[in-house]
Amino acid sequence: MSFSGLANNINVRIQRSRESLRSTYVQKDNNANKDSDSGSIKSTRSTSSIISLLTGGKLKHQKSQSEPAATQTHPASIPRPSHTRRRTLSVFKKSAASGSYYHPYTVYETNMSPPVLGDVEATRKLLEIIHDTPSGSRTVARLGRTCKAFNEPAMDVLWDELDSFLPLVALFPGYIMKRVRRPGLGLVRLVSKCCTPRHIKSTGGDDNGRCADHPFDSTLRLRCPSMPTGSTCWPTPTV
Amino acid sequence: MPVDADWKHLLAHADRVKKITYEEGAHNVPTSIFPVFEGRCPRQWVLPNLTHLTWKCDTPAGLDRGKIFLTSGLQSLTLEIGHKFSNLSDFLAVLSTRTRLDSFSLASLGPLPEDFSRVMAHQDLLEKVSIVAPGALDAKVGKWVSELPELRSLRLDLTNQSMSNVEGFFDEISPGSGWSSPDSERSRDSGVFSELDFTEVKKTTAFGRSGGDTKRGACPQLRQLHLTGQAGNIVAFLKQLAGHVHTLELAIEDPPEEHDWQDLCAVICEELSGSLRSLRILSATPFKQMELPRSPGRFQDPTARRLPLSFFSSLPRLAMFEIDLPESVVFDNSDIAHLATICPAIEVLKLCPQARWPANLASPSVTLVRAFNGIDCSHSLTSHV
Repeated sequence: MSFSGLANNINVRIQRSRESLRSTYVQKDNNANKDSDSGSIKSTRSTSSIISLLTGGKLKHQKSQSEPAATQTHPASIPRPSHTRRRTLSVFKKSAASGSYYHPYTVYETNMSPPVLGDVEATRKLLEIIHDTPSGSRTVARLGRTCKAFNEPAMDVLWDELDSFLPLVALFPGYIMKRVRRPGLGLVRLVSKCCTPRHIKSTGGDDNGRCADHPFDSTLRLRCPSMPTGSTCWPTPTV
Repeated sequence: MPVDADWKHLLAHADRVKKITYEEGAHNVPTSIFPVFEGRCPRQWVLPNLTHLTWKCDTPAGLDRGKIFLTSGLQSLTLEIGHKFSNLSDFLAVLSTRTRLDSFSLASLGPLPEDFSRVMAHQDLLEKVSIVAPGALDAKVGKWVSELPELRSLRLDLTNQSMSNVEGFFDEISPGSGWSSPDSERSRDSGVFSELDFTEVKKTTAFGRSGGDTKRGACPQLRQLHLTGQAGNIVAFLKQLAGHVHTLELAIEDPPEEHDWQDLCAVICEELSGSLRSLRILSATPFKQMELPRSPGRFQDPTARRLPLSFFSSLPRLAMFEIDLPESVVFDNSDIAHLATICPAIEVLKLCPQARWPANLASPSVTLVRAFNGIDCSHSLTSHV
């Protein structure tokens, strides 16, 4: 065999091997697409079941109607936590088979059923009862931070009755309201953004660093943090 | 000063606030924040959904700050102010123009403004009124109170008032109802002395007012009544009312005069026996305040006096009866037996359950066996003796 014939033979074999590899990849891709489609359907069903549990079944009917269309038109837009679910279920089966008491958190999540969330009034009554217990405000605040479904009703109960304006005033940004550091007093004082040395200079403030826009107010004896040491500013708004 | 973006969080949570209390003396919030609320807030009301407002202030400026929270949805206002509030009338005028309250409570150390009843005339949906202030027994105030169609609960302070002042509360009430009865004083006027004005004479001498024939039937819509003061003043007040009150709470000075106590028991049974379901008799002076002078000598025993219940004649509908006085704590078995007879519907009976029993006195004569020996317990009875 001449050198050129040998080279042709090698090229043909390389070409055949490339084609066989390509066909193998194409087949695997098809299988993978089929798996992903079936997995997305399962994941969609599991998501809808969770939503129906959380909302007391109110959204179940709407979700089941929208399932086929969503699966056919936009399969890629559907979240696919199917591998996670398979893994957790397999872990659950293993733990159940081995007699272990460990269950992953996601299993509890899918089994959770708070139908009280379906009724706004019942949720509010429940939170009000909790709020009336000793340290109930703290408990309701924790509920609001823990669960998004509880957040709005918990906030409504927490803010329903105030013993002071302090919680409201404290919602101003830190550069406007400043808490006094002395514990127990809970004082909140007004800090002016404009009382910078440049502003005081432009408004013709006095030698003590007092801003001309903000006349003296004996109720506020606050040293503006942006002021030089020893200077004071009383940022009372003019009425 | 805060710009619009700085109000975002505050306004989001301010929508949720339904009840709020402000106490100026607490000094926990700088007063300069209220002009900011008024002038810099991006919307008209900082608390648009506010329904219950409690405002306690020591200065007239503090009272003015409360105006920015008088929204149209406000249902209940509790106002506690000090002396010399010349702007109270302005505040009440703003209140009446903006709101129609269900409940109004005013506790003031200073007198009511002269135009109080005129300013408050717009508040015709009030169901609960409490006025503890000098001038609350003015005849115009009484007329305003009696003309509130929805009024169900009334609280007044009769402490240190003369009898004529108490009766003056009813001077302008329902001139066509009580006065026109055959027993009334005006109907006896033959016309001979018509040109003479006996009003001042009657006020100064309380002539003929303490008798049982001067009932005017005032405030027939009233169901709950809370009175504070001497027993004699309370007697004079109860005589003028219509007998539809079913909850009566009296804060009297302890110990009451014997004849005043006797009159009080008699008036309650005569005027309110057909409607009264709950009766509470408390001390006008708080327990802690009474014990303050004794605090240096803690070994001194409290004084115990007898309070006879035999003056009550008949209370057929009474279900709850409570007496909680610091000194009048001595009862005996005959009192319990008498109550069992005259109060067949009694369900809750409390006779000074928290009183301190003096050590130098003999043990209480009321025993459980003797007390319930003659009581017909056809229904459940809760007793605290």
